[in-house]
Amino acid sequence: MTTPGDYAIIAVLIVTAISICAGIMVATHIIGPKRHGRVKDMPYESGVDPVHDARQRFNVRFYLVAVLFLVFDVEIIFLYPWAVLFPSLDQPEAASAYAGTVGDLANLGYTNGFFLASIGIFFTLLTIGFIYEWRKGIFRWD
Amino acid sequence: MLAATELPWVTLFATIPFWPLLGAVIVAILIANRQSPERAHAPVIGGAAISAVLSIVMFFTIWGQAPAADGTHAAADGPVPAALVSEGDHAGEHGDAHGDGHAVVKKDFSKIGTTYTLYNWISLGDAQSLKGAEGGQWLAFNFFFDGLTGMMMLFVTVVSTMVVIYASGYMRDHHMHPEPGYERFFAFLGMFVFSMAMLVMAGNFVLLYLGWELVGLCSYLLIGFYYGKPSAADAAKKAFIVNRIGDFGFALGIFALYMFISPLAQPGENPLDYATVFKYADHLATHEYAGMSQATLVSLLLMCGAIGKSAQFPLYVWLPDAMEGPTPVSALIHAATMVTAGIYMIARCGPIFAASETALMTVAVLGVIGALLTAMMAMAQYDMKRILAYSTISQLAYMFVGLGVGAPDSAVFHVFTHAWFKALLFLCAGSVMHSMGNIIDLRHFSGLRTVMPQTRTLMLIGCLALAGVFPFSGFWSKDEIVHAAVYQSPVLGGLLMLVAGMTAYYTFRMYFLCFHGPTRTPPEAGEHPHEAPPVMLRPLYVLAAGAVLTGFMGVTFSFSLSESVFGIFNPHGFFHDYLGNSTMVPGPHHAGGIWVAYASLALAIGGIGLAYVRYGHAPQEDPDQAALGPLFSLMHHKFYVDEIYDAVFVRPLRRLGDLCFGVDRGGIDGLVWLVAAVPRGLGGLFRLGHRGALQGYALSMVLGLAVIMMIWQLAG
Amino acid sequence: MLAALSQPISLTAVLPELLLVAGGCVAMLVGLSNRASLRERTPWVALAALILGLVFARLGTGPGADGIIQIQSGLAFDNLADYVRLSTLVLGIVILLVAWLDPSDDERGEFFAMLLFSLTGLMLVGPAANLLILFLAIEVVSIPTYVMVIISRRDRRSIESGTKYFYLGALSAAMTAYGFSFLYGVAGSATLDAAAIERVTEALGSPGTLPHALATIGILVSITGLLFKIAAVPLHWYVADVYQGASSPVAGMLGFVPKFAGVVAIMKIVSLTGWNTVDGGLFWMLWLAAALSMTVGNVLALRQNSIKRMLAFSGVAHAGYMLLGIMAGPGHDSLVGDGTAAVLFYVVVYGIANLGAFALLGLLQVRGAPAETVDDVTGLLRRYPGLALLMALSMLALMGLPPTTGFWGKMSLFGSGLTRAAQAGENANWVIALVVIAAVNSAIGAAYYLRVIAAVLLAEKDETAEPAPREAQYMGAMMCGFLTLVFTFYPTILLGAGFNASLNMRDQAVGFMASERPAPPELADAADEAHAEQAAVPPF
Repeated sequence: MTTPGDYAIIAVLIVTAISICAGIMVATHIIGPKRHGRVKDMPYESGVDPVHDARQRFNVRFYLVAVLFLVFDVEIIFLYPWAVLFPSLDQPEAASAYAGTVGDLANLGYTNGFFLASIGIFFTLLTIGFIYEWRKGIFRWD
Repeated sequence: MLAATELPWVTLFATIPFWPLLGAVIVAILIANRQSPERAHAPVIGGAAISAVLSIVMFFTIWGQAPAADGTHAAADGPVPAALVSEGDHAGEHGDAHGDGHAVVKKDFSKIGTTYTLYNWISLGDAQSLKGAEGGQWLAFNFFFDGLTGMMMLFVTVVSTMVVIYASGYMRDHHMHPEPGYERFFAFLGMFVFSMAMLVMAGNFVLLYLGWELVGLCSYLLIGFYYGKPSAADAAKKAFIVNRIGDFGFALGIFALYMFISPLAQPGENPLDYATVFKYADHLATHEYAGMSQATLVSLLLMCGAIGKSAQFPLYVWLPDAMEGPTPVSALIHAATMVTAGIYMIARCGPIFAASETALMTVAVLGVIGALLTAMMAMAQYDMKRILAYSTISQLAYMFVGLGVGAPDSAVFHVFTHAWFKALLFLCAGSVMHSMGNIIDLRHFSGLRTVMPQTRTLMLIGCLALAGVFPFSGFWSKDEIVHAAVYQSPVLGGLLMLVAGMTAYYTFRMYFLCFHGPTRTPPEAGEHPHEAPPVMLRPLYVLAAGAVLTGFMGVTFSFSLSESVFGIFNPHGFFHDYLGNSTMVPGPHHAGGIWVAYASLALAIGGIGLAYVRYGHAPQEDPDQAALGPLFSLMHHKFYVDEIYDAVFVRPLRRLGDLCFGVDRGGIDGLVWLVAAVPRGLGGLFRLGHRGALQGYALSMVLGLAVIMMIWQLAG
Repeated sequence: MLAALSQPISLTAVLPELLLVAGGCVAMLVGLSNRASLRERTPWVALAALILGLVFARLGTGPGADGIIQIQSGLAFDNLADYVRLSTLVLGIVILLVAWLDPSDDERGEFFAMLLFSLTGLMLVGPAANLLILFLAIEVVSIPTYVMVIISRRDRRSIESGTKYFYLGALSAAMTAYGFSFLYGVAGSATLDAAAIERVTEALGSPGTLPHALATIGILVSITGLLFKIAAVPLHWYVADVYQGASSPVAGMLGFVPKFAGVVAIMKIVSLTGWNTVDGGLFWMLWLAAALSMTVGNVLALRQNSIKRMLAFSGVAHAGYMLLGIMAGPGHDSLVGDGTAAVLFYVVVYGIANLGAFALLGLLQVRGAPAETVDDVTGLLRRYPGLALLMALSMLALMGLPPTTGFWGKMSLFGSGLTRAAQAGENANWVIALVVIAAVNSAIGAAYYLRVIAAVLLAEKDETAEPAPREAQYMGAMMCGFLTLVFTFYPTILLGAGFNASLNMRDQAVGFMASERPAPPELADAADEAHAEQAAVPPF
């Protein structure tokens, strides 16, 4: 059972943290020299003079492209291991070399037909998504 | 001799109550669509007529299922049906509590009647019914069919149909245009018939209660039909409230029954079904609760309901006021529906009442008091409908006595015959009223025998039946009750005979004042008062036939001077055999005693003769008023019972109500205001948190999680 | 564990779910067609998928068909799964009807696809027997609803509310996932089986140890995250804004689909404690969440003039009642003794009544805009008695007036709470207090429901709302009324089904409750049979 007293140390920690922060800020404010100038007050932007406000609007299509990229990227992540494993899936002996994973699956009775069907479904779903994007006009840059 | 557990066509019969309801619904739809009310009577008449036809079929079907003839009353000398086991024969050996030769015919209730379940309505919470498995206990929506059901349904539906047909003529003005509210009236009538049929056919106490309350509601709506008239609105409220007082006891009785029966009921037996309750009625008789036997407690509580609904002393006061409704409603309430419900219920619960001497005695004593009191009141009234109303109470009191002295079949017989002739009398009074321009006070007209000859003949038949003159139906049924009462207690019997004489007297006082003497009509009747239209007269002939003939249903022919009236008519017949197949528990039949019939017949004729001597010429001045003086005034003012109730109950209650209202205004309303204001205030406070800012919401959610973790720390 | 996850899948077991997914895909494509007449057929595709799903769910492989619970790949098809699946499909059809004309022409495909995907997720929450599957299923329920809120209306408010809903939903999902990870650590496996229950209860039973802390944090954090789905305090903040921003049919859907998923998921997590809900942190958390949800929900609903916001806050209150039932837990073989059965009943009847109210709001138009405030529906009885009575019926059911569905639900919930109090030991009085709070709250709740009923039935107004000519929506509203009436007069069908559905949870609760109730002999037999059925299936 903990008692509220056990938390005193946390309170001490918080107080210490806040006072150190505040102390440093106050100290710099007091100690630091303050010299203003046009160049000194400019925002730092990799050594280049800033041309305009950084908070400008970007075309929303940038986001769409990013999302599309993500989708097809993830697709590759699924496809790659599948492609590597597929040839060995109808040979349980060879498959058993992959200890514990594919070998077990093969022993459980999965056939390569099953795996083909699985990736087929995966592709179908992706294709439906692709058709959807196409029909919605996401690929048009008017 | 077969146990009547399977009734043919029972599914068809189970639809009987719903036809009038269907008619009412159709009328309601017509109203909603703002159709002309001209044909509004048709659906309800149709519905009631279908019910009546089905009820007649049901009547004969149940007859075919009944135990063989010589049922209940043959215990002494005939073969005993399988369903009946007489204990009375062995009363001496057992020396049991029934005592004084009051042999109770014990029936095997599992073999009587058919329970037909439409569907299982409410689970009583046991696991079996929750799973929908076999053997669950339910509050079922079920109907019960036995001889009593068949008999009651027969007259309820047929008499109701006649009344509805009559009303389609009555509820019109002189040009045969429907009165305002015509369609509303018929919708209510349909619902009324439906409610009564539900009440009679119910297979368990809750459904009985449902019908019971529906009847009360419909009577409220119909008595207050002319709601613009303050007296009608008051009468409707009075009827409803007085009924509620009785119903309170009735509800308690049902609760008590559930409390006593539910521990006994086996899986699959619904604790409030008649079949279950009557099976365990013996248990109620032998176990005690609150210082009396359970049977006594339940019976007395149920009796409260019957007193209210059947307008018995001391709760009869609503019935005379109920005259404020249109006359067909009065006929319906007095004859076929409503007031017969209490008698029916006590007869139905025979096994419970028979198990309690106390309850039976209370029923009988209340009955005699009511009969005497209201007969005296009826003697000093001038309003035709009021006289008939008091006579109804008085006749119902006869039935109560019949129930109380162990002759429930005679009581039901009297209910049956009474339904016909009382409906006839009321509808005749309605015809007179209709013709006299809504004047019903006997002092304002006389000598109508020339104006309304047909009505006069019909009324005479009704009056003879009510007075109990041989061979009209009232004679047979009333005589049976008097007969049974005499054997129970000579005092009871003597008082009932006295009332029989008074009944004949006041009935014919009314008849002579109305139809004899010089022809006088009130100005409201117009220049040429006329006979009622055929649509009103035709149902009256049907009812008149019932008033003449139904008495013979309780009669067999046997040629023995000592056993039979006039050596021919043995007053135990088909009716009693038919009712042998029911849950009623009649006491032993006492052979002989034919002198009772002669005596009451003599009293009836004596009463009529006296009435003729005093009122035969329809005198302008009431001779009784002069002769009786203050007593007449007392009777005319109904012994000031209404005023006494007003002073003793109503006004103190109203004052208590005022007090409560003050407390309510000052105290409770303040509290309620607080209850309303505090959440509102809190709501305003909480609403501050709902400003719609996403970050704020997210922060609050995380803080909530933090609070939960803190609680864990504190609790752990 | 991988092997356990990957046993050969009999696709027939999830045929109804697959049909819904396929239907969703087809609906999406049909909605993109060039031909307007074809696009208008989109809801028919969804309807066909739902009806086919219902047919196969009845023909198919639930425990009703062959009496064996099928356990595959983290799915356990027991009575609970069957209950969830059937009620989802039936309610899904009603939701579809109500939302028939809701989306605009160019977004029909997405809308109905999302609806079907969300329902699929709900149907998978029922059989989920693995933390991962459970989490995925909940997210499959939730994510489509975010989209539906946004596309249900064409104005800024719906976008705003949908975005809010999305961010807050993501936050709650993070909490849930975080909690699940602790549970996984304690149980040593993601599978929600007897072994996991044993390990978690053991950990909870040894205070002061690290497993105890981990288990408690896991339970509390995951349930807190799930409170978002049922819109209970303290995760209720989104509810009014989202309901108001969404169109009425979608708001009606939000009252059922996520709530149902959340309730079932919470039950599955509470099962891990062996239903030891009446002591320790779990007790106080459920107690406070229930009490606060009822009170805050009702109190806030009192102040609303918009019926949509009112129903949203009343949904918070109803979540509180449901938490009371969850605290009561399973374990008593009677109408008023089984909290889980009561909750399962209540969530469905609440969903129906709520959906009915929203369907009518969506149907009624005031000067071209959907009705929203109490004033908009005032005096409806004169012009449209049928609609007015339906509205009144829904409100009465929500209010819990006897003998409506809401009454049966509350009676079972409160009754089970009182039954549970008998076993709550030192916390008994607190449990009773919670029931009292719930009863008081029902009374407060009646106030604002009655306000709507009075406005609809009693008040007069010259210019009333007009129903839009939408037959499907009308039919959906009628079906809500019809179902409410059916369950009003025959509550035992659904209560009995809920009772059967909580069979497994009753077994999980055996350690804490069974010893205190001697089962009637015939019931013990039934329970034995159920055990035998489960024993016939290899452990998953």
